[in-house]
Amino acid sequence: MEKSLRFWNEEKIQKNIFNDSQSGNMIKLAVWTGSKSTTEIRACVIKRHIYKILTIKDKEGVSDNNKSYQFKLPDGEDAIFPTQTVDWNPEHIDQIAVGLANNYVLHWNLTTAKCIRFHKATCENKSSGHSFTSSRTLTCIQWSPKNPNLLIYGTKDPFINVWDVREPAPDQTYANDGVLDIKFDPHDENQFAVASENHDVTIYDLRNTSTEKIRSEKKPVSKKFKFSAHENRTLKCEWNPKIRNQLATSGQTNIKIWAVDYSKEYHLHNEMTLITTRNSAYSIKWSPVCEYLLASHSHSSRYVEIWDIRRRFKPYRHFREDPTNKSKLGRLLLHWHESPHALLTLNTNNADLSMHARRDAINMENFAPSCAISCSPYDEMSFVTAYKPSKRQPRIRTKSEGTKDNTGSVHFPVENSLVDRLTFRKGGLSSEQPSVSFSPVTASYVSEEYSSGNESHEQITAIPDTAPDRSFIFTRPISSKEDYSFKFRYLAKNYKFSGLSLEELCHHNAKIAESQALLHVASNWRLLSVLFASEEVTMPFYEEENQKRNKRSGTVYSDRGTILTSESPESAEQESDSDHMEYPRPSYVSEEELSDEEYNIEPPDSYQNWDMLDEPFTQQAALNTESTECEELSDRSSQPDPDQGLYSFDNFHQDTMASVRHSRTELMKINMGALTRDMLEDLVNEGDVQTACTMLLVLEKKLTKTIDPMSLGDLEINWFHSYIDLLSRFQLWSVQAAVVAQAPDPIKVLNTKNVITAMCTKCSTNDKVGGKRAVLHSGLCSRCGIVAVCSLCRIAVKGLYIWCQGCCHGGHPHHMRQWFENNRLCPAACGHACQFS
Amino acid sequence: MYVDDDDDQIPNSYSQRPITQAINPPPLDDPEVEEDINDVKPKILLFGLRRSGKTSIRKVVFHKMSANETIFLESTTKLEHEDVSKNCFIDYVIYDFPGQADALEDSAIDYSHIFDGKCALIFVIDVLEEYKEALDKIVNTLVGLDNKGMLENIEVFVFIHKVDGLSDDQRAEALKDINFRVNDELSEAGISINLKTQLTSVYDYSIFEALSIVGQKLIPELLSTFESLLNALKEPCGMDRVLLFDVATKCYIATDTESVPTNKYEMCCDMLDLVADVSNIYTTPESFSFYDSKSFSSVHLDNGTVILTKYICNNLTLVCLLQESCLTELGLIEYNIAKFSQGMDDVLKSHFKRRPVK
Repeated sequence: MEKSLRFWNEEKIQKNIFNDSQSGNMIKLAVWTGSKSTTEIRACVIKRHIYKILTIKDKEGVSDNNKSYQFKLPDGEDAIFPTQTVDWNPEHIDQIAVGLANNYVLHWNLTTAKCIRFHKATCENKSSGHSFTSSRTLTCIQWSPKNPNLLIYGTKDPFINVWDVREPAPDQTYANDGVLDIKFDPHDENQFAVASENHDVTIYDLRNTSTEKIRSEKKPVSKKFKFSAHENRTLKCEWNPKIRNQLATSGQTNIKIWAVDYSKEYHLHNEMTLITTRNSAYSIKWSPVCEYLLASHSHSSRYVEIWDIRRRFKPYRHFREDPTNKSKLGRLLLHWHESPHALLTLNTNNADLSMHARRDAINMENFAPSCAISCSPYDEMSFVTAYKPSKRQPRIRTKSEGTKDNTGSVHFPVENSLVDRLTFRKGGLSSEQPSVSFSPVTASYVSEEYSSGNESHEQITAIPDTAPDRSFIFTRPISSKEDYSFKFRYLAKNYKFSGLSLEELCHHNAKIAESQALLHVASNWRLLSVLFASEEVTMPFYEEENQKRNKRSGTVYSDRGTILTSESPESAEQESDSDHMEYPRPSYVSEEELSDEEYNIEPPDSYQNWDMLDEPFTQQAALNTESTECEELSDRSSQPDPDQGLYSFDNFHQDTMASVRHSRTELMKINMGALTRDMLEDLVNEGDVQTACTMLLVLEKKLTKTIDPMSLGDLEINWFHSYIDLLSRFQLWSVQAAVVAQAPDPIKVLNTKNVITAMCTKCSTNDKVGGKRAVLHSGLCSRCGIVAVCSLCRIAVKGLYIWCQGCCHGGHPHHMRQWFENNRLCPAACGHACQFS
Repeated sequence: MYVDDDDDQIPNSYSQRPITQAINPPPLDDPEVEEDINDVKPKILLFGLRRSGKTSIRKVVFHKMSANETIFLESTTKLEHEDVSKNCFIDYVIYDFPGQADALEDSAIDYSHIFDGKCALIFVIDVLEEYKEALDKIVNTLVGLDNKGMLENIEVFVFIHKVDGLSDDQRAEALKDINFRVNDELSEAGISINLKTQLTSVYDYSIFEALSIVGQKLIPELLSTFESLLNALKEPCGMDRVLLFDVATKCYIATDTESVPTNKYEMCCDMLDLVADVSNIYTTPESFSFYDSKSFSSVHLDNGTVILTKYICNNLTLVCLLQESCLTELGLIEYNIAKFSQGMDDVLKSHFKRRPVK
C-alpha cells in the first residue's frame, strides 16, 4: 500500500446541496475521478436539470460557489426533463454526459455550460406489422475509462448504444434485455458488463462484432460472455478496480462476487462469494484502495454497509446517516473516492451530501454477540468467544511484535450457565476438574483485528488472515450432568471386561456407552462384537480359560492383607471410594507419566499463562521420577519383538480349531487385527483411552493367552498406563485394581511395584530390631499373628483399614475420619502428628 | 367474488378493440369473429410437458382459482384457447397446448395462424421432475418454428415452474442449469434468441410477476409512454415507487423506471386483495367490480411506508408506495393522480382512437 495515500481524517462532512427537503429521488451525482490532486474532490450534483459543481476540501468542506446551472438543448429549447443518469468524463474535467428522462443524451461542457452534442436514444421497433419508435427510459450512461470520446448508454429497451461523441450518432448497438447497469472493465477498455432486467449479466467486447439476428434486423452483436447472476433482476454490477475479472453484482437479496472466467462459455461455477443483504442493494462500490472491501447501500435503510468479501456474514463497517435527520429516507448514491480516500454519499431525496470519515464508521463487531454456542449430535459443545478489551485500546500487532500480552486473558461470561463450569487446564485432566479439550479456531470470522476501530485499511490488508487469537472453539462433552468426570466415572464403574462371554461384554458395554450418549463408542463396541463374537461360541477352550483366570483372580482379591496405597496426597482419600468397592484392592499403581500426545488435548502455547496450569505440571514432574522404572520396563518389553503387533493372531486357536475353519479365520484375522487396531487408535486419538483399554481387556482373553506377552506394543502399554493413572486420579481404586489384574503381563508387573505395606501396630516399633517384617497379611501380623485392631474402637478391622505411614496406627476409615476432624495427633496416643488428608 | 363469466357484461369488456368491433361487440362464441380477434390480439401460448402446470397458471392468474385447487385440475387433452380481456392491456388470447403430444408435429391442425402476429411463447418446466425431456421439447419446438421462419415475432419465455418446493440454493442451481442447457443446445442448433427465464410458482406472486413481464413484452408501444407518465407522477409527489396494476389479474402493466423488488410487489398484491375484500362488504350486488372511479385507499405500514391505491379506469389501479412524511401533501398527490389519469385517458384515446374511457 502506498504510504502517500491520504485519508479523509477530518470530521464527517454533511451538507445539504439544494435547500429543498424533498426532491422525489431525483438527485444525481457525478464525481470527477481523474483528479491527481489529493486534497480535493470535484463533484457534480444534479437535481432534475439544475446542476451544481462542488469542490470538497479536507479542511474547508464543501463549497459550491452558490452557482447553479441548467442543462439546455442547443436549439434553445429548455431541457426540462429531469436527469436520469450522469457520468463525468474521466479524462476531461469539463465534459460530462447526461441522460435525460426524455431519452436525450447530452454531451455537456461544464466550463462553457453548453451542450456540445446531443442525441436521442430511440429504438426502431418492428412488431405486429407496423414499426414504431420506442423510447423507454435511459437507465445508465458511462464513459469509457481509457477512451475519452467513447460513451455507452443503455435503456430499458433492449439495446445498448456505444457512441463516439465526435460522431453525430451512435455507431454500435447491442441487443440486450432491459439494461439496468453498464460498467466498463477498468482493466480492459474494450469490454463492459451489462446488468439486465432478467437475471443475466452479459459481458460484451467492443471489438467482437459478429452479427446476430434480433427482431428481423441484422444488428452487430458481440455477446462475449453471459451468465445468470441472480434469481430475479440484476440491479447493479461493478468491476473490482484492483483484481482483474472480478465482478460484483447485486440482486434482490444478495450481492455476489464473480470471478469471470472467459475460458468457458456460459460458465456455471464462477461464483465466488455470496453476501446476503437484507434489502436489494441499489448501490455497490468497490473500495479503490483495498480489494476486499465493498460498500453497499440498500433502499430505505440509513446505513451504508461495508463488506469485507472474505467475511461475508457480517458487514465490516457501517456508516450511518444522521439518525436525528427525520426527513424522508432517500436512496444514497455512493462514491468511493480513491485519493483522497473517502466515501461520498448523496441522499437522492433531500440532497444531503455526506463525506464519511473513518472514525464515524460503526464497527459491527462491537454489536456482534461476543460468544456463540453450538451443540453437535454427540453432545459436544462448541463455544466461541471473543476477547473484548474493556477499553478501546490502540491495536497491537500481536503477530509482528510477538507480544503475548493478550494470551490467556480470555474472559468468559461466568454468569453464563453453560460455561461457568468450564475450566481449562494444560494437560487437561485432573481428579476434580472436568476435562476440556480445546483448539483455536481457524476459520472464525470473529477476528481480533476487528476488535478495535482505529486501524487503517492498509493494516487490514497487510495482515490478511491473522489467526483469530481471541476466539476459540471449545469442545466439551456434556452429559446430562454436564460433567465429563461423571461420564468417566460412570463408564469406569459400569464397563465390564470379565465374567461374561465376549459378545455379552460387548453388548453390555455398548449399552453403557449409549446411556451416556457416546454413540460412536457404542457403535465401536458393537463392531467389536461382530468382529470377534462369532468365533467366541466355537471356542469353549477360551471360556474355560477365562473361568480359570477368574477363579485365580478371585483368590488374589480375597487376599485382603495386601492393602496397598499410594503416597500421592490425593489418594489418601481412598475411603471415599469404598461404597463402590467390589473387591478389596490388592495393589495400587502409582501415577505414571502421562503421554500427552495420546490425549490430543495439548493446548497451544498461548495458553501457558493460565495460573491453573502450574499445579498438574509440577505434580507430574514429581511423579516422573517414580515412574521411570515402569517406563524402562515397558520399553524393555517392547524391544524384543517390536514388529509383532498386539493383534497378530499367529498362534491363535490353532490347537483347537479344525483345519478347515482355520483357513477361513486365517483370512479374517488379518482384517480384524488391522481394523481393531485402527479403531482403538482412533478412539485414543479422540482422547478416549478408557474405551480403548477396556476393549483391549475384553479382547485380552482372546489375544494374550496364546500370544507372547511381550508382544504388547509400546503404544498399548502407554494406553494402559494412562488409563490406570486416570482411574487413580478419579479415585476409582477398585476399577483400577481390576484393570491391573486383568491387564496383560507388562502391566501386571506394575502390581508388584510401589507396594506400601501395612505394618502391625504392635510389632512395628520392634520392626527394625527384629529383622522379620511385621507385615499385615489378611489383617494378621506376619510376626505376632495378632489381628489388626482399630485404634479407636479396639475391634478387629474387617474391610477397609486405614493407617498412618508414620506410626502404623490405624483403624476403621470412618473412625479415623471422625477422630481427625477434631484431633491432630494419633488416636493411639503415640504422640505422632498423623497427617490425615 | 369476482366471477369470470361476468366479464362479458361488465363495463371493462369494452376494452380496447379496433373501432369497428367496439361499436358492435361480437359475441365471443362466434368462431368467425373470434378468428378475427385472434389476428389482432396478442397471444400467449403455453407449452410444456403434461402435468407441468400450464392450465394451473391460466386458472390461477386469469380465473382467480385458488392455488390449492389446481392439484385437482384434469390434464388438458386438446388445444384450449380462451380470450382474456380484462382491460386494454390484459387483452390476450391464451392457447393452452396439451402436454401429451408434440402439438406442432400434429399435422392435422394448421398452427401457422396461431403464430401470426404478436405472441409470447411460454414453456412451462416442472422443476420438480426430471426436466431433460422438457428441455428437448423447447429446443425442438424452437427449431421447428425457426425452420418455418415464424420465430421473429415471438417472445420466448421459460417458466421454471413449481419452485415453491425448492430451497433458495436449489432455485439458483435450477435456473443456472436450465439456462445453460437450453442456451447451449440452441446455440448448437444455430438459433440465437433471447430466452427469458423466470422462476414461478402458483403459491406465491411470482407467477403474477412473470406474467406481468410477459404482458409488458406484448405491448411495447404503450409501455414507454406509461413509464414516462409514471415517472412524471412519481417525481413531484416524492413517491418511492409507482405501479400500474390490473386489479383483475394482479399483474402490473407498467412501473416507474426503477425496478420493483419482489417483496414490494407482493405487498402491493396483498394490498389490492385487502381493498377488494373491504369493498366487497360495502358494494351492492349490482355493481360488478369492487373498484370504481372513486376507489381510493391508503394503508400505513409500521415501517413508515404508506401504500396508496387509486382506481384509474378500465380495471387499472395505480399503486403508490411512499413515505409517511410525504402524506402531508395529500392534496398535491391527489391532484397529480387526477392529472395522471387524465393523461392516461388521452394516451388511450389517441392510441385506440375511440370514445373516452370512464
